[in-house]
Amino acid sequence: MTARFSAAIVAFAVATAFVAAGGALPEFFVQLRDPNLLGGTLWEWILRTFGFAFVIGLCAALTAAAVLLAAWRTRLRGASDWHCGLAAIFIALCLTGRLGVSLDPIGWVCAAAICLLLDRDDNWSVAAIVAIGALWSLLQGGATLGALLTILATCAALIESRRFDARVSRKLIAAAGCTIVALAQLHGNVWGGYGAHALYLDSLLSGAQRDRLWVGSISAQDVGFAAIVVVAGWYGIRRRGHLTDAFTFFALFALALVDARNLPYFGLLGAPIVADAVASYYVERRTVPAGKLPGYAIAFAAAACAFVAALTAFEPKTVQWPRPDSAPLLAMLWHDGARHRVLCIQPRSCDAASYERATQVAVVLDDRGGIATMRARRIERDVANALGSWRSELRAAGVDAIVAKEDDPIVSLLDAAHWQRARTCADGVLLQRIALR
Amino acid sequence: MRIALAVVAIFAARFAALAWHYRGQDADLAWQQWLGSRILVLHHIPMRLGLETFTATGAHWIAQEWAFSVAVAATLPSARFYVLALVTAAAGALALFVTAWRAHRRGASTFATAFTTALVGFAMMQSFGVRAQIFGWALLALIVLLLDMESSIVFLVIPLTALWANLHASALIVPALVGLWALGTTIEDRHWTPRVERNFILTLGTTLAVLLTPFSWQLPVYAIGLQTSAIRGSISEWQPPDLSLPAFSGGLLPLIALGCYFGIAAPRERWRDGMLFAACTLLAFTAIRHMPICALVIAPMVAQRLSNAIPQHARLNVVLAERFSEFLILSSSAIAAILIVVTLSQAPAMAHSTLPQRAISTLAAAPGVHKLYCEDFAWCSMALPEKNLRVFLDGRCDPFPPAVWRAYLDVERVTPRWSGVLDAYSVDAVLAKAGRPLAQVLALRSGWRVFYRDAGYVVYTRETRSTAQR
Repeated sequence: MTARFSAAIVAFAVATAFVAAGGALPEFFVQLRDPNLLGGTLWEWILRTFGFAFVIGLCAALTAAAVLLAAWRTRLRGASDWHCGLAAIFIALCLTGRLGVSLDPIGWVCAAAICLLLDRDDNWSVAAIVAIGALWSLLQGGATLGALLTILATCAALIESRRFDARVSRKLIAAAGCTIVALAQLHGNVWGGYGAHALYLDSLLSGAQRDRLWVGSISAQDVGFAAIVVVAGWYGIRRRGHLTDAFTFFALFALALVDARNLPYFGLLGAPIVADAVASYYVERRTVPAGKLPGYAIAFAAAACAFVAALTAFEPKTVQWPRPDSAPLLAMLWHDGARHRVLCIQPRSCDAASYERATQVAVVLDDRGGIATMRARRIERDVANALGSWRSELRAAGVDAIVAKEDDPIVSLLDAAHWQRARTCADGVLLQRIALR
Repeated sequence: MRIALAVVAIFAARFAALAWHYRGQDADLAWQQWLGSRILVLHHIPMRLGLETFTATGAHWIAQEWAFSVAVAATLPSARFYVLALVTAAAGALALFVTAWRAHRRGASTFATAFTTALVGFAMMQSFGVRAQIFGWALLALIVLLLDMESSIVFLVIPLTALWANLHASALIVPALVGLWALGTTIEDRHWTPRVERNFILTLGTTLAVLLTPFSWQLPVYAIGLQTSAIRGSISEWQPPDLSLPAFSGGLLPLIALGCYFGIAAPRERWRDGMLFAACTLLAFTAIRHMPICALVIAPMVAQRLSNAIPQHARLNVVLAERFSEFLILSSSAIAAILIVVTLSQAPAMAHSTLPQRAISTLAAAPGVHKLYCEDFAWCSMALPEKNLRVFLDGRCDPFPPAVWRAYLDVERVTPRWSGVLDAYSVDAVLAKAGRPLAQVLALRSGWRVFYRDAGYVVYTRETRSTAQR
């Protein structure tokens, strides 16, 4: 039985799962309004023009492309088709926690493409890496990862060759290019205002939104993470003798532990390394694929077009916007005409405030902990945990509305302190200060 | 190996200093002392919760730490707790030493052995205390050493497992590890060899050994049930490890990373090592309390692989083997050990108890029988010996039914149901940490008054209270 299509089958399954998940990630609503990300504007235009079904299909196709690029990278290293399939399965597991419409799939494709090109050593690849880095920084907030990957590759090349040769020079040019385009943010306001994320390192700040692995019951993404680590531990990523592999693997390993939102990148960039290590142990004769990337790219594009077209054809034709979970709670504030300052006990719930361009509603903190002030994060932490002088902090910050879960301690504490439930929705509740209503 | 011994000595000093001052730091010692005293008086192990609790009287209880509790009861009241403390510290040090020895036996270089031993020491720091599982660590280190030795004395694993099972239910991990070891041997040998047969007999033996406790088959059932228990979410040690924990980021994580870099199983077709690495790594990601177990098992494997990169004849190891270097390291470690003991002994957190003993004794001195809810269930352990206090939930925690746990969490997390729970169970006294949400909400609630307050804790009692029976 041939395993030639194993990675493609997994990629198609991931795309299907993406569509089946059906929703949008809360972060998407922040990304849509981020002035420094053209991807938000582009996605919004596509949403308004073609509808949500088209956008979700496009995101699914991009995700499948990222999986296939990673599998292709595995194959180009001489691993067998079976091992490409193994890498694709690991990646699929790692992606499960982030299946939903957002700008992330753009970042996934760019990261997979940069790593594919970093494995090569020619001028064309350097130019392509910088171009992809520039495109990434224009469209999505994770371009700093592209810079990190190229810097790590340069360091590894320098350590391996122990001198400044042509290979190191090429990697250095790529690193410099990617770093400049990632940091400069070629458009938008000030670069201090940038921030869908920068490797999600901001999640380590007190009060900021953070997603962690292994919390609660074991999920598919936990299994994906563990599978990559265990297989790496079994075979050793040192087997292939590429220092770049080790640097990339451990950097992404640490980033995934910092915040689970980095896990897809760990899967996309780490799984090919691990699958290659497995292949190098079991496969004596390594083979390079006979086909060419343009040919495969055209075949994939045709399949992706068919996939998106079929999806769009069977979905309602009306332009349909996704609704964030907390939108009904915040909608009450959008439409009452008064100005409000809202604090969400789970910062992510406030992402929806960006969604309506409702200027009369200001939030203390949303998903972008990195660009929030220290004071905002302190208020968030103190109020969410009812610590210290949180009541006076609430007053000083002028907060007159709080979005919380029914079981959050703040609901009981604020009830007693003359706040009232303005609206409940599912397990969420909007609390409003009575005096200011 | 001498350098590794220096590392062990440093951690042993730290363990000893922590254990010496442990008495006022962990409320669990209170229920263990209470249980041990009851066993010594009654000459049998209580199998059900009694009237000391008002939420789950009669609930089935597997007092798995019975042997350790007897040791606590035998030493704590008679001011000989230091004996238990030092024995516990010695058990921790023994675990480290045996792990270093195991690495040395596998041919690990001087640097690799010392480095991985230090990482294991860091991984152990988070969970170290005068606790039953520390003896489990020492026994685990001995068990995996015996497995490594592959001689006829490997059958000592069986009595060691039985001993561990009587100290702590974590002994259930032994049959699983030995089973994986046996499976790995089968794959490596590819035939039913005497070694394979011996390891499968050993697996059977350890499976039976965990039944050799006063609870027989009930202990494994209890331990397996605990893996899916609702109480895990409320106990910090059951939470997954995080980078912010030094024991993880500075201890276990580097060990796992080194394993990932060098490869544990494939280079020499060590399926046994690979299987233990996989199982222990998975286990460690799920809970903080599993970190030392994982570190103890995988460290010698990692040291062995690290020695491939930095072999004994490498310059670093040659320098470490020089007499002057050895003298320098040993004397430095001795100074470090002394400094650790001195500084830890003078640390305010060590010198003073952080537990609410005074709050509980004040409440116990009040007339009548009180139904007490503690914000941290472990604090209520100190109320168990008090005749006029009945507790909602205490540090024994495992035997309390899920409904009681849900009710406890409703109050602890101050959900909208909190006051309903206190009313439903007729709780008339609440011990909370000052400034925490529970204390804040009680201060705002009519019908409750401050009965006791100090810098850290506050006890609220109902203004109109009906006396409970005990």
